[in-house]
Amino acid sequence: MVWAAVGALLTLALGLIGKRGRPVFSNRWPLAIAAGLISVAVVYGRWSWSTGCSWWISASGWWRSSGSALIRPSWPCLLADLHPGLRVTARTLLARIPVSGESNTARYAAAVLALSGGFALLLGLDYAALFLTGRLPTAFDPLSTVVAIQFLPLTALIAVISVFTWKRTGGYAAASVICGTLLTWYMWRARRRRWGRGQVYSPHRHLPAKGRGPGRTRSGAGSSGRPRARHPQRLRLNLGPGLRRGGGLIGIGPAYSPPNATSPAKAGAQIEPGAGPVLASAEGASSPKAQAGSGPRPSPGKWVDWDRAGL
Amino acid sequence: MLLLGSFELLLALPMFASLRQPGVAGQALRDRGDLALTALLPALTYFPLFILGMVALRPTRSSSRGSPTR
Repeated sequence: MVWAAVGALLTLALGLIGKRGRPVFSNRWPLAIAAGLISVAVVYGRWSWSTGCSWWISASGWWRSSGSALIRPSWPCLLADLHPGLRVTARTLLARIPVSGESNTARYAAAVLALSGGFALLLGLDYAALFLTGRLPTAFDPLSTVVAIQFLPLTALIAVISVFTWKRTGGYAAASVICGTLLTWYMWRARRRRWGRGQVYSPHRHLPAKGRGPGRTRSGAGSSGRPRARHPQRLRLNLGPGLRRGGGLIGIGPAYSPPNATSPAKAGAQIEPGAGPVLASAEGASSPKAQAGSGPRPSPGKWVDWDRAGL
Repeated sequence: MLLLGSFELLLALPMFASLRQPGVAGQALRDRGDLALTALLPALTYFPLFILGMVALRPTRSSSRGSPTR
């Protein structure tokens, strides 16, 4: 956002310094806004249709999707930032790049080169250095380096939309409306995809509480006196074998046994014929500590964690 | 494709007829300096301004809603 805002200001400042012939644009803003928004709405409708029909057939689905959009404070900020920013970008691009009498291909290619060329050069040099020397020159900010990759197709898209709409309307209004709305949607989706819709991570909800018994990580882990998971990473590690055990129990895959675990027979477990996979996959069998601990002795019937086995 | 096609169809409607106007190029010759400046300025300012944004804009309570790293 800072980059978009400061970039727009810089472009404006440079435009003031190097003032040349004033470009002629015919911008009919109300109509351009209407046409741009309807076009984006068509794309949004098609996208919603392909990702899930619930948007169309269930009112709650629509309400939830739009409701979560409306209360999220980021999208008005994005809109307020990206619309003026892209307005400056489209205006500058369309004033400076197209020349009269050139072919269609040249016009589009020049616009794409003007917007994406810098990023292509930056990323090309950056990754060439990485492959040649094994070190990323921009390693001081590796996240932004990765983020820059998506600027290539996005800036190319902005260039194509700008030239296309300018050729038909003679102005930059439609381009700035369409690109601003599309990018706001894109960035807002990226945010939501990363953090999940309405999925607020809470250690109180995701981890077993103190004094509330074993919590969701039941079986031997909770009752054998082993320290409970208090950290997402540890919780994930604890859940991993559980999932595999579930698979072994219901016959999807082989029963899980850690590489260093003693075999059930060595640990002194009673193996009934036919109940081999159940006991072999039980946590008590793979961890002698839990077997000897004060936890309740597992019985085969109780060990199937259907929830975790995905049934 | 869908977006540009929809836009073209909308322009064909009588309601948006006044929006239809061919774009007129403002210059007869392309200035290579302009092209280079337009291409390089965003790339050159990318890292400094992204770092500035990360340093200068502290996450607020509302902006970090739903983020596990708050």
